[in-house]
Amino acid sequence: MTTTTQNAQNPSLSSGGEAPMELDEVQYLARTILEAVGTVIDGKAGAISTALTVMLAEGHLLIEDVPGVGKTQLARALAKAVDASVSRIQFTPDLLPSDITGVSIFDRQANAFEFKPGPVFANIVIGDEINRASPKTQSALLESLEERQVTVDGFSHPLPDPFLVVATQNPVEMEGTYSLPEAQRDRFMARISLGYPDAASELRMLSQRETASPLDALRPLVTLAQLRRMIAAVRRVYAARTVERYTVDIVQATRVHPDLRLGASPRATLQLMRAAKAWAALNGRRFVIPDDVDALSGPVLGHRLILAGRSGAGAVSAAYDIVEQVVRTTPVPLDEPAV
Amino acid sequence: MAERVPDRFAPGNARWGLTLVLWLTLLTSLASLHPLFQGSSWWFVPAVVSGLVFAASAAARAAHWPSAVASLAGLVVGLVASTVIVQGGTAIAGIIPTSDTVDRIRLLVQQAEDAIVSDQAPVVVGDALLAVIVVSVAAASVLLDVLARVSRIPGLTGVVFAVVILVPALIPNIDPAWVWVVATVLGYIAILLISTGRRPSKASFVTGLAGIVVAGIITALLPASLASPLTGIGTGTGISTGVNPVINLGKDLRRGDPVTVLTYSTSASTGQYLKLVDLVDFSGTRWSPSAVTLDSADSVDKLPAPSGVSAGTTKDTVDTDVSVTLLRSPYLPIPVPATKISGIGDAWKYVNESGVTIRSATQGSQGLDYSVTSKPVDPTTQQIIDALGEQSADMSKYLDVDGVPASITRLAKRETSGAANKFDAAVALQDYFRNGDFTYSEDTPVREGYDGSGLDMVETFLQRKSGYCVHFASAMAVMARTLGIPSRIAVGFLPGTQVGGSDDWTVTSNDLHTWPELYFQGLGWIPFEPTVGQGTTASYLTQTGTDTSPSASASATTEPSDTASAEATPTSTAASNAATATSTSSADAQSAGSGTTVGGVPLTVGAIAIVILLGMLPWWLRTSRRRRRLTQRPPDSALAAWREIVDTARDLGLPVDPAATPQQTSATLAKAVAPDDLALAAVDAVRRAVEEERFGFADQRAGTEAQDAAREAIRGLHRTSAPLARVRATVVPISLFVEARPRAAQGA
Repeated sequence: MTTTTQNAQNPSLSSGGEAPMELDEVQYLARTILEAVGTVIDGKAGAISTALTVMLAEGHLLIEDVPGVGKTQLARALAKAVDASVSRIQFTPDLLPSDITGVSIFDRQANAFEFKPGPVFANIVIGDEINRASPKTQSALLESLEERQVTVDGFSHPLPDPFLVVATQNPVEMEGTYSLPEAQRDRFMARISLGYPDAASELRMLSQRETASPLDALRPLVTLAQLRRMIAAVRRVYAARTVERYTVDIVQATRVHPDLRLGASPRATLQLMRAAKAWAALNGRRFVIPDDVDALSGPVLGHRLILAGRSGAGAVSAAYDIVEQVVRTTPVPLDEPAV
Repeated sequence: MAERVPDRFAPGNARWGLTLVLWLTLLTSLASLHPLFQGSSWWFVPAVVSGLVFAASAAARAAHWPSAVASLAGLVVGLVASTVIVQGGTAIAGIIPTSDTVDRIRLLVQQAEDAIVSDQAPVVVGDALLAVIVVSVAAASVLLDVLARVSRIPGLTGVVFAVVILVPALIPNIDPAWVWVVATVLGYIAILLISTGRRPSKASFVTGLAGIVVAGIITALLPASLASPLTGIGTGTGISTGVNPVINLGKDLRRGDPVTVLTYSTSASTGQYLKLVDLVDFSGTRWSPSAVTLDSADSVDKLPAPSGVSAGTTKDTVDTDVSVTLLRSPYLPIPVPATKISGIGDAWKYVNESGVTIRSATQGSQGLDYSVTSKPVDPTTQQIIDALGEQSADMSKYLDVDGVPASITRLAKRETSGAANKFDAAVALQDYFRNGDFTYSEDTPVREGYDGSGLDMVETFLQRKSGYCVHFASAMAVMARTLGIPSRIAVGFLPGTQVGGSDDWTVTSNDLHTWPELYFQGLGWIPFEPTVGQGTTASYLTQTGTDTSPSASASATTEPSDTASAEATPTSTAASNAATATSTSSADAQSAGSGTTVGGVPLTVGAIAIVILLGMLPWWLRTSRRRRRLTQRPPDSALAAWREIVDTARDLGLPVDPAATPQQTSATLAKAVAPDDLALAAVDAVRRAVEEERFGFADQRAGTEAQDAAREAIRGLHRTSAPLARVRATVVPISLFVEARPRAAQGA
């Protein structure tokens, strides 16, 4: 087990309240972050955008891919671009829940139990290879995803705001992995996979890494306060009733799809809409359009679907295909009156 | 944009375009009937009436009358216009029908039925047929208006058109006018496109197609009695004489397929000539029956004695039972002179003015069975000689003949120069025709343009010496009048063919015949038979003056008529049609009140105009749709502008998916107009506007900028596409014909 914490600055515990940022500025800052992270993870603009979207939409991100394609790099780069507290937890089979949440230790001088916060108390928590830990430990982390607080010995300890978990996992058929239960996968807003870089990007990577690690060169681009204002701006993005219905239509279509054993949950609807709002904000738009929903329905819905009679790596792309098909066949509410 | 619930009593809007297309399509379908009719008045007159109906209802809607009331206005206008066409002087001020109008309509319907049943296509369109067509088209116009505008089931308008274009298909030997059928179908599609507005649904096509199929099935299932007037058009399943039977006589003789019109059995040893009516009045161009009004007192129960017949000249009494089958006539075919008729109703009266003939104003002869007793004259030579010289009654009516060419008078004098008396002169004339170098032909007069009974025709016939009964009879009657012998022409039937050795005789349409009757005081009206090779001559028709006259042999009975008429029967429809075509002008001259026949040129011009109009229709529809969209008012202005851009791209053949989001589509368009920055920006501007309008805040709706940008984008799309694509987009705008299906329709 290794946990590292950088940027030991006190995590801000204030929850919102900041004035929302102008969308122009949101778009500008977002673009700056995307460019910066892009220097670390070459040729993966789509995945990086999705990752940033999840961050702005106050969700959690699951990166699933084979080892060595830069999952952790992406998580760390994203964390570094924001001036936030970051901790990294390497999940191993012998990791205990208290290794994540923290423990209460008896302080003899104070004659009381003192809570020692675990690595989860950071703005950005990177959970590496999350599916290598035992289900018990996994759930310790995952419960905090939704609650945004940790309860130890009857005391609730709120987690910092913003709070983002970026978990990476290897495909389930890899050795020594525990499959993430559906209920826990559902807590992640989006799942992305990076895939192998193309030849040009890989070549560029070779020449860059010769001298210095680009990750080290990365400096924080936005402050925590700015990040919170960006998140507030995202919350104010408008979604027309027609677009909301369009989102619901897509989610509901997954529930009746003949190739799916389990469709997307109502939580998925909520998160898809929030992600779409963030996506709209990233594009400088004050309202959501169906294209925003379309763009994110793959990452947001894909990992929640259970295919009828299929599993394994093929299932991942099959799930994406099904989502794409659902999106393609859901009518765009262009004709319906705007409300 | 709330769902508009159709309210048939809501104030209407004119929709002139839809009305125009309905009208044009109706006219197009009507034009598909052109193989059936001669001339073009049958098309133009209904076209005007139908136009009035449509214009009236559309104008009423333009004045915001409720839709149903507007259709009612069309109905009223249709009724008035039809009355004007049909009334023939019976209506008050030409538009208010009276009971006379009703009677006239009944008569016209009867006559139209006659024409439909008896004539072979192309039919000459007389008043009656024209009236029926006008009324039908007016009714169809009102029906179309109601279907398309009040009931809002434009798909069903297809049934109306289907019924019209199916008519020629029901008639043997008539090729449907495919050009017009296709044009009608195009017009129908246009109706569907226009009436369903922006998105013509597949359902409406299916409805229309189903309508056409249903129309076909209904037509096929119609009871035979109902279908026969329709299926009988121009097939000549029977023959009809009309009021003046001579008009269509030549045509009936030339029909390819003789039909049995009546059968009779007689107590006489020979067959009987059966007379329908006498043609008395000779205007110089045409023989016609004397104008008579039927007197209800002239019951057939007490027939008057034939005029001018002295006692003793009749020896035999002949009883004849007639059974009429396929003859429709206001006259009864009877052997003459009749003394007693039984077995017919009160509707039949006798007419004495032109010889005793039996006539009805309300009934047709079809299907009647009746018995006639007749007493034909059979004078001895001495009786004839005795009778000659007693000329007492005023016969000026039967001597009236003006403007006879000198050649005819000279010929009559020359051929009768050896006759001792008028009876001998008449016999000499008969001999001249029967035993001279005349030939029987039903086609030559038609081919050479002298088919008719007028003086010009007679003069030509006497030179060419070839013709059929009408020419022989007319020539002899005219020549007799120039010699001072009262004459008239009888129209009726040759004795026909004896069935085996029995007393039964069968008369077919080929036995239709005319013959002259000449009057001799004391003998009455004596039938002559100048037509070479036809019928028989009475044995007493011999010269009386000198026994050595060579014409004595003329009394020999000639061959049965069938041979000659069979030889003369045209063998192919084509020949018949050609003959009819060349005879049009003479047929016009003959036909009484058969309507004005405008030449074929206006019809052709009208046809070309309609084809051009229909060809321009897609362009016009597309342009008006574009105008409508680019002037659409908020809250849908940007959406309409966007749809217009998408459709323009589809017209130009760009691979845009109508189901795509604006962003996806604009990406496609961006590729197409790539080098054109102006168009690129315009497309993007409209895309942003439509997104803002559909999904943005209510207070930030796009204004007219989107429409200006859309115009720029459309110009840009045209600029950057190939010339061929632009032509295609103009002539065949695909967006007009293929529905832009939303994504929903493709989903599971």
